[in-house]
Amino acid sequence: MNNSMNLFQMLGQLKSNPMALLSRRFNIPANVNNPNEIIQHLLNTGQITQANYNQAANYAKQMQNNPQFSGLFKKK
Amino acid sequence: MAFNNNFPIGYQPMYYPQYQQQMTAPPVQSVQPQQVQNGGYVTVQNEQEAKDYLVANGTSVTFIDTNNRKLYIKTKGFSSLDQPIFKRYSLVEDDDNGDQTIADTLADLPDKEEIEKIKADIKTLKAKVSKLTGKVKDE
Repeated sequence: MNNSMNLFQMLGQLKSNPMALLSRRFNIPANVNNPNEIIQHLLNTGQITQANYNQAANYAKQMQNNPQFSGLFKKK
Repeated sequence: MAFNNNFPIGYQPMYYPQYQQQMTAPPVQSVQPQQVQNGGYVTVQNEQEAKDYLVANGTSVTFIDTNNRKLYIKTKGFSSLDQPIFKRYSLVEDDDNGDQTIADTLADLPDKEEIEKIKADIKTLKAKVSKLTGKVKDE
């Protein structure tokens, strides 16, 4: 089909606007663009559970305390 | 024939299954009250970390503050519009008898009547000192 996007175009779109693809995949409203708001939306819609979030937050905290990943996180 | 109930031979009475279904009472649906789910226990460094933690709708998460001997419970309602309820508790260590040590401390404190009497005495003393020295000011 002429209107089907090829792989390169998809990769290009993902690179330039990753939120567009993720929003479609997870049904995230357009006005939700803050990372915390996105996670809250995923929690509220049941796409992730509280246990999922707790586990991920715990991993993130461990990584923050690990000097190997010191450059990965933004400093507040 | 009489055995056919006076209906003509070959007559088939109409069968209305949907009418028969309507004759039965609809099943009573029991409404299950929504219950807050336990979202688990999370350790935090301070109260702000607990306040910033995300909680799903209809879930309650308990936070243990490792620095301040406090416990926080954050509960989110079932609607996305509900503001989370945040409660804080202080952890009090019990003595070997299982009684809270804070109870003994509270028992030694003066009651309101005693405090008012002490205040009146202080006021009187201040007035006397001020008369003698002229340095103490009344608050």
